[in-house]
Amino acid sequence: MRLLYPSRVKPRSVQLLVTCLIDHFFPQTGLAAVEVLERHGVSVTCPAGQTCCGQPAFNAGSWNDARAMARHTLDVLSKDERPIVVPSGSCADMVLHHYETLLAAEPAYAKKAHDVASRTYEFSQFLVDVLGITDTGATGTGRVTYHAACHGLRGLGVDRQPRALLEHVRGIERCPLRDADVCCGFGGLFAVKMADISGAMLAAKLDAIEESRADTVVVTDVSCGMHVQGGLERRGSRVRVRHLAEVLASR
Amino acid sequence: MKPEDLAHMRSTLGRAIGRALLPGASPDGPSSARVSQGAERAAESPEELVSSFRRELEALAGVVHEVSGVEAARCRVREIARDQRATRVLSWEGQHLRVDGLLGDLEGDGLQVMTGPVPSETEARAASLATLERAELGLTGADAGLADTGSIVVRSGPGRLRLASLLPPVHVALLPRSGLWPSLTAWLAEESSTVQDVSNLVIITGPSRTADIEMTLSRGVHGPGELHVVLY
Amino acid sequence: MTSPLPFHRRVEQALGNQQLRGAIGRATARKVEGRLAALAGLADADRLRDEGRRIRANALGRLDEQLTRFVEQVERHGGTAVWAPDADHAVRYLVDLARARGVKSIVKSKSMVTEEIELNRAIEAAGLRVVETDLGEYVIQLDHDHPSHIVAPIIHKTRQDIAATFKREVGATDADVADIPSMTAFARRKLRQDFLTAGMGVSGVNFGIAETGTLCICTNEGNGRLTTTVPRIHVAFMGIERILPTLADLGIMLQLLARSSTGQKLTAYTNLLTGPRRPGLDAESDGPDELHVVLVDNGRSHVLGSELAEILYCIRCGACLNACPVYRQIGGHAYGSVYPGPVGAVFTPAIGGLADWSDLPHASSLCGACREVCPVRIDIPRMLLALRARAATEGHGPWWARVGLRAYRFTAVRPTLFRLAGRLTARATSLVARDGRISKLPGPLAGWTRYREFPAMAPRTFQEQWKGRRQESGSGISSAGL
Repeated sequence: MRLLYPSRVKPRSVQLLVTCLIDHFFPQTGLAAVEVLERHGVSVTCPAGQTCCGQPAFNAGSWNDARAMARHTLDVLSKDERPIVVPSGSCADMVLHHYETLLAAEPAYAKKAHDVASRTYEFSQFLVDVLGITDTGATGTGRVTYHAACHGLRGLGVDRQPRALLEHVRGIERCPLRDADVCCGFGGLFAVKMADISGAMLAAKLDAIEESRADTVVVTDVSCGMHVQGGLERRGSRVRVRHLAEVLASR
Repeated sequence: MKPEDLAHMRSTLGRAIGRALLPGASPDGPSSARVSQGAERAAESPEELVSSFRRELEALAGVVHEVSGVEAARCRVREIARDQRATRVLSWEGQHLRVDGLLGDLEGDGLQVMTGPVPSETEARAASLATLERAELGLTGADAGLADTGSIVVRSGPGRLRLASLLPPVHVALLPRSGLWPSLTAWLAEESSTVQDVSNLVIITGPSRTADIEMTLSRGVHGPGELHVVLY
Repeated sequence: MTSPLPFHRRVEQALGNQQLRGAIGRATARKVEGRLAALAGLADADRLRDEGRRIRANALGRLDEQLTRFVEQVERHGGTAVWAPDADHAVRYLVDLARARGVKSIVKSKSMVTEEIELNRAIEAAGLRVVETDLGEYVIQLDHDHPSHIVAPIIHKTRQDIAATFKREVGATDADVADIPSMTAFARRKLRQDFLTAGMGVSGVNFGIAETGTLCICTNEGNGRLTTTVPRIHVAFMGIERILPTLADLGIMLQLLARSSTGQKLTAYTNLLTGPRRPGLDAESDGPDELHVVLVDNGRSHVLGSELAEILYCIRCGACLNACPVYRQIGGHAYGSVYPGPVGAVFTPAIGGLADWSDLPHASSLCGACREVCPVRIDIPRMLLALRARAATEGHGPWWARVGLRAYRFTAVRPTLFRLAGRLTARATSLVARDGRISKLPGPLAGWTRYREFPAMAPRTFQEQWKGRRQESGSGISSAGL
């Protein structure tokens, strides 16, 4: 088990690895994450030049392409020694667990990868395990359920943190989700290459969501969120997907 | 194995191992050295061993007959044979059952007792098997009982037909209370050197079963559908 | 091992078969529950799994020594051990032996490796009779079908399917197939005759113990015991990776196998065989007079010498199939190989090559459920990724993904260009989007919009808003719900 934060002193400022999807599709998620962090006295910088962590290429097997993007991301994040917060479990998992192996043959970058990994945290992990915060002062309305996105759940062990944070949101009713830990079928290019299988998995997830009677599904990964939201819209469902940061930002 | 095949096998594997990525391997050598007792929550006292054995075997629809002493065991086996309306018994030879006079009693009760051996020669073998197959009851001893799984350990050997615990629809095994062990791991830790003394040792855990059709449990598909352990 | 249909066609067929999906969904759910309950009964399941993993890794790291020792011990106890570098050698040995001994009829207990080497086809081609005796495999053989699960071969069939097969193929009456116990009893009667008259029994091997030359064969029905006891000759086919150094190791592995596989503490019959029936004055009362152990390599040593060696830790419990959301949707047949599910998606291309099997490593969302349930913690996602990388290097897979990713990378390492490209795409997508959604994407991306809407890109990116926010200090939050 990695020592979550090596110092007893809680960090007062962090870098945000905003991720390409949030940057281009869901900027409000990134801004919400910033708001929550700032609310707890953590100042946020967003290193310019960040693009994509390389996960899509890595998962597709195009490792040369993935390496190029990994090097670029490491260069961007290494300019500064502050901890790195990522509002996406799968991108955090990429940085934490795959950069070092991917760049093992390049000692200088392998070292950078090791260093960056040692101070990279998924958003809810940072709040709960590093800052020790479970009550963000958030309030909300309606019935809320939580879908545990796979890379966060199994790659990083992110599950109790978002649940603890949601537990303290005032005014919401929490609904259990059947098979919350079963994949929604996203899997990056899998959703396109193996669209039929992915679609069948999504249907099972949507059934479980409808069964939960929630009106909001909370996720910690916008990619899975985009997938589930797209499926809900196609069904004409009124249920909406929101990133945890957005739920925590509302008061 | 032909020497050239053995050499080929060794060199093929030796080369492969040199390139193998084996995550989780530890350089400490054979892991058995570090194996502790079973991870199962083990029963300790004789009473606990008996109650655990009974609970586990009954959960699998096995029947445990607790009796006191050899004499009672002998009576109980006769009762079981009578209840089953058995006319033929496929059995170990008397000395291996360790319950004196039992086979004589069964014969006295009008049962035909068959103890093998099965011949090797093809036609004689087929004829013998056809006869043995008609037994309604199989009778064996048990070398050990495993409390945490409700299993019995049965060794083959001279006078100890494997088929007795296999061919008939009902299997009755005689197990002394002193033969109970907490777990398979505990038994292996003491007795593993005896595994290779005979060609076959079987750990029987409940009656024959299958769930191949719609995951629905059904007993007695190839082996005995009933298992009785007479614990004495 | 190749399947005649391309992968996507097999998937289409599977997804279109509602009865199949229902049966598989129900069965895997029960198996998942059974596994969880069985592991909960262990005082320290995690430690046991760590130990199991270490045992498997260490055994493979010394496989040359361990197999040599195993061969010595098998022979010391009067058995014959044979090295079969490939499937052809393995099946030829059996056919030649059957002919030399005048065997006409063979009974078999369930074995994955004999499926892999297509033993039955070779036996039948040689004019001999072979009968599968595991209830599930028996139905498969009667139906000329293929198993769809490592542990539960007819997981895809209903009792009505099986009743129809028994009536059509082996003359069962209505009473014989009235319910499941009747069907089981019917199969017992039918197969008992085959056991008693067979000249040879063929089995697989769950574990081979190097220190004693012992074969461990686990079955619930008892057909494994009959196969290895009744006929005069027993031939066991064993993948070379199934070695455990000691009986103490076996004690650990057995605690994991049945729990992970069927939710049992132990299988009904855990059968340990050390050599054939002991001969001489004090001869054993029964058992086979001959024991032959065929050690099947068939690509395994090649896998061992690679980054995929970890897949050889597998003890064939099938837990990863039950846990896999892809397997749960498509079942085993769609994989097109003897080994389905996550383990098959690695093992099949690892031994069969990517030319025929490049789709399988992609048939996974990399969710990691397989790794989570594996009793020896095999990192299947890692190896799926390694195979994807290998496939990309070898040039398998669609061109559009290759070109697309290359272009994406080209821009992603040039931030200004990346932002520009992003803005241009956003402009383009805003033209086709309705209410912030796109219902039909072109080309290869159409797969996405077959089942879901695609979101329009944000009018202003996070980084644009971030820059603005810093200049105006705290304003400019745009919102366009996820």
